[in-house]
Amino acid sequence: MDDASKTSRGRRLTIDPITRLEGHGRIEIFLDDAGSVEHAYLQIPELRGFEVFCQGRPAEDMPHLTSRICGVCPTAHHMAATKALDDLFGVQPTDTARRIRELVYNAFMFEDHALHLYVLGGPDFIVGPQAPAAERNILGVIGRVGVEVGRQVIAMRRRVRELIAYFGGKVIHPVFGLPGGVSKGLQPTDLPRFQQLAQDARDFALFTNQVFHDLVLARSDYVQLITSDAYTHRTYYMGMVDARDRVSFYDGQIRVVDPSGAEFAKFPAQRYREFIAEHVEPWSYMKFCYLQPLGWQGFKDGPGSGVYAVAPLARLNAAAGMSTPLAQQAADEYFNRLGGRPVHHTLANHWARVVELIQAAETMAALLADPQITGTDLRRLPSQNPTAGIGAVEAPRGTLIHHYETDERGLVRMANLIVATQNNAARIALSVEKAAKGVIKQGEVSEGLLNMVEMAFRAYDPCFGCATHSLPGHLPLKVTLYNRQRQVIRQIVQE
Amino acid sequence: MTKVPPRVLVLGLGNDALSDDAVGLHVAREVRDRLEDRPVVAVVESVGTGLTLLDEIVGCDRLVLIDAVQTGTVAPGTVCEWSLDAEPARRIAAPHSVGIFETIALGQRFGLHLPVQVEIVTVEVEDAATLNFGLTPSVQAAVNVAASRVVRLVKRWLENHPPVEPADAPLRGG
Repeated sequence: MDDASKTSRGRRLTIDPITRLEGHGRIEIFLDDAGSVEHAYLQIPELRGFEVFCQGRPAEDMPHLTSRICGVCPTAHHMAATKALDDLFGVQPTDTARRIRELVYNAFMFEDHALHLYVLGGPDFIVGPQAPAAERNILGVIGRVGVEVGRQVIAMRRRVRELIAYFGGKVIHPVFGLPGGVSKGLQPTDLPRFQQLAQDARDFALFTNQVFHDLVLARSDYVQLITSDAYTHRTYYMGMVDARDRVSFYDGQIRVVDPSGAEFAKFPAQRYREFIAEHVEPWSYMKFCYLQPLGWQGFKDGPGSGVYAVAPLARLNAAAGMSTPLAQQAADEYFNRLGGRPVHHTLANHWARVVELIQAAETMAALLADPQITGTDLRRLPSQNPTAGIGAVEAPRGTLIHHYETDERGLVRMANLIVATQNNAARIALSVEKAAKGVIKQGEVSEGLLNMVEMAFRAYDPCFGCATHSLPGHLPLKVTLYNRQRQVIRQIVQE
Repeated sequence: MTKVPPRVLVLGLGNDALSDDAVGLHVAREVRDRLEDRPVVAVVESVGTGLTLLDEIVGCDRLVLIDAVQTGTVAPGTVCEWSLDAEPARRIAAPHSVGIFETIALGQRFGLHLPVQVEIVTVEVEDAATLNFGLTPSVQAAVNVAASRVVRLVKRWLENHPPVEPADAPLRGG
């Protein structure tokens, strides 16, 4: 970034952080005349036509259609859509089907979290926030953890994807969930190899925990960064919990805690509209979710503001504990080290993700040890005429809700999604602005500083929802300078 | 014995539900029709990105990628060819977690057999953000043009690289 360190006053900066992000997005930073940050926004490109795309289609198509809109977390959409169909047709999956869904879903969470830890977030922490841009990538991560570990990451990911494909046919566009069940069961002859996989996945998760301790937590400067004020917001937190209020990815009630960690609400997904409302800003097509009972109070934190977070940090905060023993141990250490519940440090998302990685692996192992998993009763047939259905899961990036309304023939009239990044949008905006204010002074903008701002939202692992493969016509990092009239003054390009 | 992989892989990328983003898939289908008598050529359509593509490209000697591009500087439907050698990877990195070029570099670090030559045929898109099955007319019209470019690249390479005995061919998995 040759021009990046030049002073720019009274300008608008745009960071276009293509690298390591799913889809396209950019950060816009507005500087005042003194060169300080006035406002900072995360802009996400619009994916158009979802309503029209869905209208008139048979509801049974929704798991396949919605998994297509996003190449990042197709399994999450597929599962949320499948659960919405359960609700729409008034039918619950059989015991075996439920376990298979949970198995596939936890495998997906495991794979996605592993990818984020090593590939997306790894460059920030494993390589280091101040490392040269040329090293802050997957190759830099491999340089730190070693080629053999890199091979393990790739091999483990491939094996877990094979499990998902065993049931779903295709990982990217699974064909698996049916209202009231699943399309394929687990053959007893295939059980041993998947049990071995789950055991290896657990070992891998524990190994990752060790890597995180050795390369991140052992460094006081990283820990200081994680707990620094620039990356801290005292907000509400949302996440799905099981009957004992423990973290649950596949099913449960949605629980919200306040900034002190006390329960604020707990509700089934079907009541989401009583608790989640959406705020519109003129500068963004995206709607910002907030807690309906508190109202929209602007982009601010604190107990009076309806801004909340989802994703790993929020899930751990919103639950009373983890559902598996080794994950619980890891969570205990996490909360002890970071000052108790709830943890308000955005960058702790990476550590929380490690804790969840362990739970996902342990859950896979537990499900595969259950004799029901090879049962043959895979589906209950729908029992009611469709009108409306709502389903939710915890996607890797946070709570995901699908809501469909149909006519009496089951053709979709209305489809609404609340996606994880939307839940997080207001808090991400807070994080970006605060980080920008913390690191940009007197208009001094350098590559290292911009990376500190990017880190603020990368911790959320925001998904920009579109699986577009279009090669960008511009370069990985673009900073556009605008004057107060929003005219482009010049563009800075990072190579 | 492990299946001998194709020496030339034609890989079309895209999301079939996202309007013109699917153009790489459409071109790949057309290429498959035209090259079906060439057993050393595999034509694959993929919605995958980044690391997911590693399994696809391991073992081939030559990779021709087909993808959508949105530069905004040329008319929709414009077909371009890029060479990985001529153009540094970062300049055309895919917008996802790990681009195809980082994926290749990563695989090489692991000692996997990966293509020594990568060429990319791109089609400038008009709309890759609307959920819809189907291409816009100008991009639809470019499918044949792009397919011809891909076929020409493949045939030229095969002429310069006569077949080897299967035993000498690299094994998948490297």
